[in-house]
Amino acid sequence: MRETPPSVWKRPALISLAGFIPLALAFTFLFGLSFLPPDTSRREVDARGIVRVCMPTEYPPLVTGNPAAPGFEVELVTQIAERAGWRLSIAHNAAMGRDINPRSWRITRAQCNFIAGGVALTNTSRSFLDTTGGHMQTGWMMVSAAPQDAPIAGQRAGYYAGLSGLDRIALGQYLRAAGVEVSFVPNAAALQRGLANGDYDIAITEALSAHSSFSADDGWVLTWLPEELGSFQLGFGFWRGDTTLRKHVEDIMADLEDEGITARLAAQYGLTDEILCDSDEEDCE
Amino acid sequence: MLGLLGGVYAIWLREVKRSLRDRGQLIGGVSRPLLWVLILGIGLNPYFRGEVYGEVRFVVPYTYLQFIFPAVIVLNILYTSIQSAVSLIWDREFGFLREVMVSPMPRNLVLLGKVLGGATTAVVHGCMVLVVARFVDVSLTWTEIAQAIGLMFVLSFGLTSFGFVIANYVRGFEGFGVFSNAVILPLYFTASSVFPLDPALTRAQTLVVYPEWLVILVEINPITYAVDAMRGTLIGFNQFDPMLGYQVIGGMAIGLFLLAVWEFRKV
Repeated sequence: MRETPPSVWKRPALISLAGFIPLALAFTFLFGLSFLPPDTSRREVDARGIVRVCMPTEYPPLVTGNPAAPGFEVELVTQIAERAGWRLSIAHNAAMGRDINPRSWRITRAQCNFIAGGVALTNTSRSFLDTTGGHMQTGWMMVSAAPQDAPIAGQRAGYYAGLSGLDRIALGQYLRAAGVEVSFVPNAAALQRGLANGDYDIAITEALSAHSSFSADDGWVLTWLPEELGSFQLGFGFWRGDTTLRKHVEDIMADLEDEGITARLAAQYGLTDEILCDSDEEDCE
Repeated sequence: MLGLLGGVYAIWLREVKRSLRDRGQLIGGVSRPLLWVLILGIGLNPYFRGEVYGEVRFVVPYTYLQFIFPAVIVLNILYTSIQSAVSLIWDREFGFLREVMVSPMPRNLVLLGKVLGGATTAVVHGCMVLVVARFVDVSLTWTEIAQAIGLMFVLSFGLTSFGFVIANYVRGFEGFGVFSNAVILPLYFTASSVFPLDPALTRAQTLVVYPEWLVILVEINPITYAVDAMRGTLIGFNQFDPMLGYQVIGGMAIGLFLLAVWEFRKV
């Protein structure tokens, strides 16, 4: 009988720790390089000491035009500028309040370092700008005197579109399907008046406009319309490639949120938790 | 069976040890992210910068740095994988291959050990680029990192096999260097690595932007789909059907390994 030859297999010597030193040095070197600033945007603002921000003239409650209570985003940007040691210069752009198409705004890098006052974080705006994470969200909202989940057939609705680029066609189809009689109103004040006077049973508008015009303290019930009708987050828009400036502003915004300053400012303007996005919990996803 | 696996392990370990001692390969692995991401990326980044809001819509919704970052990972893998095959020439030159070939180890397993060793080194070099993710402002979750490493490994496996196919036809080290550069750089540049094809455009519209011969070269280059899969994983941007990238990388790994097995019979 043939004997099985003895195994010649011998465990090869493992790599000594010293063998990994060059590789570890290479990784450490590259990791160290990753802390270099990739652009000069923050350095430019630091050197001038002024940060210029483009905003619409009016977009309540984000920008109100009232010096005593200038708006949530005006105050937020003021806090950011103070923390960073910059002087704030706001460039109000009337076109931002009139037209939802950014081409018509004619905003250039020379006018502002970043854009605030309701930049919608959509794929379209991201194809023009780098944006911060959303710090609030908007969508279509229904305001009524008594709690109700959805518009009821036969109800009279006052509708104010506001400035947002929300999907109006989808909303129109939804309201028609619900059998609601819709009246268009020219501004938020008219919507407020009409609902208070009983001209309409419900008011339909975008969430920010609803929160600035109607308060739960006054007995109004604010209800989100279905998500399928569209919603988006709002943040700040930076020029494509201005990474260091955006990161610095994001860091300060995170500090403000952690210290409760953002929540305090939001409360001053009637913005509830359902509008604000918590960056840690990603509740606006 | 255990002895055979032990043999594969020993060859794999030898390849890994060899790569750790190869300072030239290590310097190449460090210099590519340095040159391509830090120098070229920063140099071109301002020309892909927004100046007027709403006026110029960017084809790629990312900065140029972010756009080329996944491509540089593929470049590092391309170089390292194909150059790992130089060990075959080395082993042939110094007689080590003959000693391995007369051992009871089947040839396919010898090749598998060498390919796995080369692929491991290439993945490590791919990870060297991943380390500069912070610089290019790409935030990655652990899942994305694991997915990227998985992709890198399958791609490296296929490309190392390809390197062995090339090495089988080349007799000297110098010839291999020239040959690998003549293969790697054209593959890289025609993989939509440094310029984008707008996914929103139809093919007819793309042909208005780029000459047809270039579009055809990009479309027939399998590395295009590897770069696209890597972009999909790391920055969430795909120019082609996301599944296509995985299919091409998987197909390449299997096909090129089988080709290398076929070629290795002649060694």
